[in-house]
Order: sequence, then structure tokens, then C-alpha cells
Amino acid sequence: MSLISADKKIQDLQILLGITLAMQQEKDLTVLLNQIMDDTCKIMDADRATIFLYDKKHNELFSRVAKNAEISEIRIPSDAGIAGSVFTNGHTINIADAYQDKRFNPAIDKKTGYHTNSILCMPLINNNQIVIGSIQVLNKKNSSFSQYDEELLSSVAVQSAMALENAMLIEHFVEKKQMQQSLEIAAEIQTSLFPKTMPNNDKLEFAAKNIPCDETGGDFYDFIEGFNGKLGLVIGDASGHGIPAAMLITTARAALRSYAAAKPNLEKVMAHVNKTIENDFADERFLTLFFGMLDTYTLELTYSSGGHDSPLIFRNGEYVELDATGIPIGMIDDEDFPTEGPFQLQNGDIGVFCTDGVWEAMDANDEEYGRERLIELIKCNTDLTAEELINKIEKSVYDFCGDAPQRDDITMFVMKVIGEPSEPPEQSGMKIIVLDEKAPLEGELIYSNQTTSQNLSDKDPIIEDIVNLLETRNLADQRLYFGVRLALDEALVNAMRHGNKLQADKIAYASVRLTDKHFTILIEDQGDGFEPYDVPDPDDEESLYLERGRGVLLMKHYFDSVDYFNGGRQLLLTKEI
Amino acid sequence: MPSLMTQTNGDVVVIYFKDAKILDEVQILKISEELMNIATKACGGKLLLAFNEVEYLSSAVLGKLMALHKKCKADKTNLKMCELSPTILEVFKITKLNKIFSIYPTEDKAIAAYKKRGFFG
Repeated sequence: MSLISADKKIQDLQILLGITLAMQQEKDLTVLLNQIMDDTCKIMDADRATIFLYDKKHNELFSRVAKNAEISEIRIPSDAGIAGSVFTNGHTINIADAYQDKRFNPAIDKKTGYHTNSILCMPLINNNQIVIGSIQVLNKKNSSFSQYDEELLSSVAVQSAMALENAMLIEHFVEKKQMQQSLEIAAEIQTSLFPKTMPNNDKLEFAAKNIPCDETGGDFYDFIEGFNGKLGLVIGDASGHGIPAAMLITTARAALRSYAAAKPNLEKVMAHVNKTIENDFADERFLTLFFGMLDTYTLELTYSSGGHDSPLIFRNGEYVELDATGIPIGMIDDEDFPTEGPFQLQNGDIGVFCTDGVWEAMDANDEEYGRERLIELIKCNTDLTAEELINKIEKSVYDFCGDAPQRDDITMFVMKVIGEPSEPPEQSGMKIIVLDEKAPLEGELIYSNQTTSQNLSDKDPIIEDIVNLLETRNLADQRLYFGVRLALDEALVNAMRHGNKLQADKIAYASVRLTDKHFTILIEDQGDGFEPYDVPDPDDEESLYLERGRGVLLMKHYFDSVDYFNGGRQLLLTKEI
Repeated sequence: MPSLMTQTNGDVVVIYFKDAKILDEVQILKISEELMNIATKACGGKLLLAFNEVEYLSSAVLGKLMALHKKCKADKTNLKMCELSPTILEVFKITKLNKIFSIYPTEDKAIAAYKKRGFFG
């Protein structure tokens, strides 16, 4: 054993003190690791130094090497090699010639081209005497590691262990904090998707609650206001909860909103949402979805429900359940979601729309709150306002559950009718427009025919021809054949009777054209045309006795556009394929 | 050959259509005339129009039905309808005639409705 001079000892202690002070400043684990490894090399007069730290989660030892701003992480099984052996047993290993020792694995040297001579490896032990890793130095310059080197490295190890453990804790905390933050942001985004205010209507009261059991929930509700006094009532519940469920409902909500705005047809909107979810999400991901459409004038409620637990409508101590009309959304492509209704709501009716988190809430003994309890509670409290009632329900569920943890998201809204049904105002946009220009004729002419106008029955073969043609070419479904027949009937009678005044020398023409996007039916007469007029209000009973206008309503319903050209002598019906 | 057939169900006169498609102008006129005759006979009573076999009717028929409605209202005859196919019911909805007429899915439900009105009925 060589003698160490007092000067050398003092010098080493000073370096060690410097290392210790520097360690206390540094909180970043990667920087700290490399700083300690570099300083250790210097103080030990060694060629290399490596610190391995224990990753409990993976039962591995890891080290990080920072070089030119790149960080590479090395991972080994926690009992592998010299470092693993030291970590596992907690003893120092000091080897003068690695290749003479059977614990040494030369495979790494072979792989890296390095030649290991001497090795000194020591455990890193924290204040609680727990081994948190190992520190290893290689190739003492000009000799092997001495007793003094062991003492010196042991000092480094003691100081390092504390600093490294703190840095690991901080790193773990920061990671957790970041995860927590992204969860909070996700929850915030999701909360912002819930309606901020309740629908404002003097006939209806609304109150809603959403209590997710994670940061992010798998439930949602929505009110879609817009089309002609129609109010969309939406509630949904995704399978599972947490982030995947949140993504599912966010997608469903977006699909529903965007499509409902374009086409206020319940069945089509539901089919579209179903297709979107089915295409974009894995099979086991689905949601139940209730979509009701309430006419806020007439108080008629129509709905379509994909597997959603039946909302309840209470009246005079009785209740009805709005049962599902289809399977949950996102299970089968091309599924139909038929509508139910319309149901006439009355003053005093109470609608309760929930997710199953309400009645499946459990107390400490795993007993469910249950639908019966909810129904009884509402029956006894029908005089309350929507707000009071929803608070009552929430309190009742909480009281029932006691200290038991919440297991599922709880979402509900209550709607109370506080006014009488009324007639909707006159519909706008039903004015008939008559253009002077001639109808644009696009596409391939696939049918044309004509008839004189004295005998209205002469229109019938033309109608038959056109319906058969569309059928042969597979251009319409059964419902549309009906509509086409009805519209043609209407249009030809108008052309022959009103246009050509039933005169034998005047001709009515019909032609069908096809492009890849739509087909058009052109009906043309040789009359004097007509001035634009307003379609009578179909809600005014007197106007219902008028023949005029009813036909246009029907045509507009079955076709995508109904336009008059050439001063009213040409009628162009367009249907998208 | 009449285009309509009547049967009594209790105190209700039920009218059935014989043709699946009501579109011919002559046929419509004839039906309208028969309807008015039956309504005159049932004046002040109960009249139920059953659309069981009807697959198609033109909007001209709707005009005739409105005339019948007007007459029944004046006569205080209780007129109801039933057994409309979904496509025909849709036509009534588009033209909002469903608000004028009392429409029931089945004959049984219509007959029951003459007696009382149920919850949500």
C-alpha cells in the first residue's frame, strides 16, 4: 500500500468539498449524474466513472451519458455485471485485473473496443441505509485502486447518494406534475365543451350537473339551439372513463354538432355519428347517446337513442321511459337509429335525463342507488323547480353513498315544462322564387316525354316511366319513389292545369337528366308563367284548405332544390344522389 | 263499383279504401263524392277513415280530405284516421295536416280513443 502525503489528502478533500457544494446546486438528474461522473474520474485519477441508479418500476439499473447535448440512457438488469452485483449485495468490489476475475463480463469490452484493467465499484447508500445504485470507476492511471481510493470513493458515494436521490425524487415529481397538468388541461378543455348556460326559454326550465370521477369524464350533455325553434337535447355516456372516454365523447359531440347544424334530421345525424365513431375508434370503444329534438313552440318531443338508459318524463305522478331505439353508437357500421315520437309535452311535465352513474352509484356496502329510488324521489318533488330538483337528486345520491368513493361519472339534466304549447311563427324562406332565365340543363339526358294537356290522366304513364327509370338505375330508395311520384304528380298537374289551362294544343314536357352528383327532373309548360307568391303558412288552418302551396311543400321536402325558371314555365327538381 | 267500403265497429263507421294507389283524377273525384255521402249519413256521429291498403295518394287527395274535415267539423261529426303507412303519414306531417286530423296508428287504438284519452295519447 502506497503512502499518501498529507498534502495530497488535503487537496483531495478540497476537491471533494467542491464536488459536494456543486452537487447541492444541481437539481437536474442528468446534469448531476454527468457532473459527478466527471469529477469522480478526476479525483480518482481514473479513466472512466459510471453511476448506476436503481429504477424500481422496471427492476433495472440505469445511467445517463450526456454528450454534445445528446442524452443516452443505458439500462441493465439490476443484478447484472459488477455494478449489479455491488447493487444487489451492497459490498465494495475492487479488482486489480478484470480479466482474471470471473465476475467480470468481457462482452462489453468486446463490443465497445475498450480494455478494462482495474475496477472499483461501490454501492450508493442513502440516509435510510437503502442501496439506491452503484458507482463504478475503471482503469486507475498507472496502477490499481488502493485502500485510500476506496475511502475517497466512499466519501464521494455518500455525498452523491443524497444529491442523486433528491434529484430522482424531483424528476419523478416533475414528471408527475406534468402528467397532472396535462390531465388538468384535458379536463379544462372538456369542461369548456359543456354548455355554459342553460337554454333560455320561457316555457322551459333547465338545470344540469356533471360530476366526473376522474379529472376527465366519459359523460356529456349538450343543448343544440337553432333550427326553427327546435332544441336538441343530448346526453351521452362513453364506455370506460378517463382520457380515452373523454376523447370518444369529444369526437361524438363534434360529429353530432357539425352534422346536426347541416341536416336537422335525427336519424341521419345519429347514423353519421355512429359511422364516425365506428371508423375512428377501436371496436371496444362505444358510447350510448340520446338525441332528442324538442319543438319549443309546440312542445313536441321526438328522439332517437343509441342504447342510452331511458330518460324519464313525469306527469301527474306517472312517468314514461324514452327507451332506446337502437344499439350503442360505434358498435356496428351502417346501423339504423329510428326515431320515436312526437310526444306532446304539457305544462308541468318533468324530464330527467341521466347517465347510469346516477342510479348505479353505490354505498359502502355495494348497494346501488337504483332507478326506483330516483323515480320515487322525483315523484315526491314535482313541485320543485328544475334547479331545486337537480340539487335534491344530487344530495340524495351523495347522502346514499356516504363515504363510498364515486365509481362512475354522474351526469344529468332536468327539464321542466312551465308553459303551454303554442303555434310556431310563420316559417321564413318558403317564398317561391321564379327566375326569368332558362333552367340550366346539366348531365346526360336519360328520359324525355311529352303530353297534351286536355286530359290530366295522360300524366300517369309519364310518372310511371320516370319512377321505373329511377328504380332501374337504382337512384332512389322506396321512400323517395313515393316522394318522386308525389312531386311529379303535383308538378305535371300544375303544368297541365294552371300552366296550359287544360288546352289540347298545349304541351307539357318532362325530362330527366343525370350527372354523377345528382339527377334533375324538368317539367315544362307552354303557359303564361306566374308571378312569385308566398307559400301560405301551413300552420294557419285556413290556408290548409288551399290547394296552392301544399304541392310546393311536398316537393321541397323530397327534393334538395325546387326552382322555377323561364318566368315559371319551367320547374327544375334536383335530387342529390 | 264503389271505391270505398264501410263497416261499423260499435258506434263508429269505419271507411276502408279499396285501391292501393289513389292518383287518377277520375278516381279521386269518385272517392271524394263517396266520402261526402258517407259523411252526410254519419252526420253528428263517429267516422273513422282507415288507410290499411293505401300505398300512395296524391296531394289532390289531401285537398279532398280537407273538404271532408271541413264538413265533419260543421256537422259535429267526430272524424279520426288510422292505419296510415309511414310514407303517407310523412306526407301528412310535411303538409302539417297531422295537426288538423286525429291520427292513430291502428284501428283498435282509434276506436279506444273515441272512448277515452290515455296518458300521452
